[in-house]
Amino acid sequence: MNYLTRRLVTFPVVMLGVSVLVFVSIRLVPGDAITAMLGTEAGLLTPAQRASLETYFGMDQSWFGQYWHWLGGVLQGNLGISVTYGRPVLDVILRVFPLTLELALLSMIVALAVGLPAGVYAATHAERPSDLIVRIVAMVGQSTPSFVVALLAIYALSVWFGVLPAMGTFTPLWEDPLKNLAQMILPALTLGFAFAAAVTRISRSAMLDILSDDYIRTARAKGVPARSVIWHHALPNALIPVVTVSGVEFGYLLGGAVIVEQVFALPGLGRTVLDAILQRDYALVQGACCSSRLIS
Amino acid sequence: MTLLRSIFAHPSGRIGGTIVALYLIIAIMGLVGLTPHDPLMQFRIDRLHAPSATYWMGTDLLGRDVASRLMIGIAQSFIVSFASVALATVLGIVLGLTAAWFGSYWDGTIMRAMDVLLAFPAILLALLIITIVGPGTWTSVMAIAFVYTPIFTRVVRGPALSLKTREFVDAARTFGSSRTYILSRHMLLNLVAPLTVQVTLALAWALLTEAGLSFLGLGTQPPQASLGLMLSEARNLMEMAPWLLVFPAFAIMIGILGFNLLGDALRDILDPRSRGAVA
Amino acid sequence: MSHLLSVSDLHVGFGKDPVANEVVHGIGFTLDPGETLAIVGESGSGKSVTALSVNRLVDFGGGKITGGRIDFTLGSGAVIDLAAAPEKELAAIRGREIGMIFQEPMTSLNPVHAIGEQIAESFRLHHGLTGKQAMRAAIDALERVRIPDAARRLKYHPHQLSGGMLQRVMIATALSCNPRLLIADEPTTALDVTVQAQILALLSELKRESEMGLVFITHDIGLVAGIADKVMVMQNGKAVEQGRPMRCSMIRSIPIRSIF
Repeated sequence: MNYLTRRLVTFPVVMLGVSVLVFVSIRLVPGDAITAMLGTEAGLLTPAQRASLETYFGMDQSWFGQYWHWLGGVLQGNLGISVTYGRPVLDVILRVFPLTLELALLSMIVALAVGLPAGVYAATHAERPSDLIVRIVAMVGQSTPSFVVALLAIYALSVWFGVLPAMGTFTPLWEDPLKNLAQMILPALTLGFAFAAAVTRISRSAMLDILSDDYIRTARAKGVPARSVIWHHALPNALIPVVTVSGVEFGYLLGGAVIVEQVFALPGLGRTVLDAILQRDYALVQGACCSSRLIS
Repeated sequence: MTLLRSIFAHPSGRIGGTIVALYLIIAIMGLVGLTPHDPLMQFRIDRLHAPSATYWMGTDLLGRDVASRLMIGIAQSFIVSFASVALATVLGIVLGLTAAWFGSYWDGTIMRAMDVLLAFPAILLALLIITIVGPGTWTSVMAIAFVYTPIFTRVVRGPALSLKTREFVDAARTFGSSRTYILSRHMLLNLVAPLTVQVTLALAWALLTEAGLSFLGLGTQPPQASLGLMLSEARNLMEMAPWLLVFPAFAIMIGILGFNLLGDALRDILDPRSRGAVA
Repeated sequence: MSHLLSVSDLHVGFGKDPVANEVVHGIGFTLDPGETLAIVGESGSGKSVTALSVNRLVDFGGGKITGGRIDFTLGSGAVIDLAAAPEKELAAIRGREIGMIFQEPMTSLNPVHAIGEQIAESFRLHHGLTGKQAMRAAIDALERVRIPDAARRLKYHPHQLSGGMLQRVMIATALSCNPRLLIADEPTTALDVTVQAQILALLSELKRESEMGLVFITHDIGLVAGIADKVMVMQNGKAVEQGRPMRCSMIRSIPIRSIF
């Protein structure tokens, strides 16, 4: 609770800092958005055309003026206009955001579905060979970059099973759930893999701690069968640290999404930010960075 | 010496230590040119040659020897990771110690700034920095150092705050010791254990981040080799030449695993209280 | 006739090599229904390990019984050697035939479950009661240990109750199935002196109501004279003295503290 209130109080300050940092840093990037957008054609613009474009995107004002203008807009729900898409930033973000959220949530489900039972199993078989195997796998999982997992998975699928992951045009969940899940399953497994390793390690150590607590001895003294001791008495207590850490790691999942979306060519928030940085789409980077911060 | 012995006595320390030592040897051999072939030399006739006695891990699309490139790739990844972690450690020590020592506004300012940096997913922050300065080896060093500085600052500040109120620090003050002397002699030396653990684990993350950046084409630039870059080059060729994918992939995995294992072992050895604690 | 509990030549060890790391070296004692045995001794003398061995909870802390017999007479009249019984049979005996209370009431109850739920669990396990019946029985159990306003307290979680109240809850849980034997492992050590007296009074009252045998472990020798029929003094894993309280030289040597 204390932690939460502290977070809530410092949150606006941190958000403001994030926005200033992003704002200043993207304007330090050499090159300007108009050149990046039009490529060589930018050289053909008359000074008047260029000036009117700059006015349109608000680039003729000072940095401070631009930031002030942007901040004012944000408070009214207007994040500015994306240069590359030619549409309001909020629109662009809202269009790509569901995919990233879905990816993160699916990965989290994968991670919890795999990591929690594995951790509990390892804890109840502590120091036995099966525990060692779980720990080694978790350690390897934590040590493997998500794109390595992705590439190895794609390779294994195509060589051993002769199938390529369903890439092609992305189908949103609400249009065709089955096709969407078919496209999302591999990215979610990939992103969930490292996260599952973390969940395994946390739930194992939490369970180990709790299994030596006094109230577990009490439960045993009452004659509660071993299985029920684990699932009914120990697990609810072990879930507390697992959930806390999962919440924190959720933010990292969004970061990991940048690379996974890139590998699997998924049009999500991560890929959009990456493109926006490369395209110098100031307003979009700003909006996307801040909104990704907002949810994590 | 005793530390080395206890690392060797710890099962994961033994494995992790061996891996790290092996990688170090490979990296140094790569740096001084003890590679099977010139890593930049293009053997045009032997393009995409499968692993053989001449080319232990095969050759790539341009006919370059994968084994040699792997060796200098490991060296490259190590240089970036070590340099960035060293930078982050120094920055973290300075910021964390001064924040803890001077407190009040200075502490508040530093820690809020660190909150801002921590608020970003690591890779995004690195991306931002790289787009400002332009991709390249030293940019990745800076970017990764920037990403991990807040973590080191926190690792230093927490214990430093409690050390500050300990009797031996008060005692040192009454002797009239200078501030620098107290900070370096009494505070920093007591932080060596947690810092050692953190440095080892940060090296694992740094390797991970470096590989990611290179993979996205924002780290080491061709024709130089780095593990992430090699993987991104292997991406479209993996059915034709799986060796391009498999060797660098496992090289990254095992290298990071080595540092993680070593870090875990060090935590067990240096900080017995946190045995089996949360990762 | 056979005793309620008869322990002979009990050896308990810890760690990977329990024979080499033995902490209890050949303890033996007997207990009849309605009798109270006090096991006293300093910290590390093996008294708690002996007590935990009786219902074989000692393996919880990594201990292992390496020798001896623990003969226990069940309600059915059958005699079973608890040292050798399979885990499944033990689970049916624990809570039903042998109740146990521990030193730290604060940590001995599960923080995530309401206390009523924790008491009701025994009724569900051993009497096959369900839902409402079990809760009804839990209220009775709480009233039996003199907790006022039991129906409302049922929904409390452990952190909402004081140490003394929690120890009453523990006693209620332990006694819920009318066990033939109660093992109390330093039940008052963690409590305030006034609360200690209340809990001891409650225990002896409850014992008088039933024909339950009580094994009472304590390092507070002053408590012993007031409650025990028999005393066993332990030191370094051995019984150095056994007998009636007033015959024990150790106990005679100290002033008796009035506790009730």
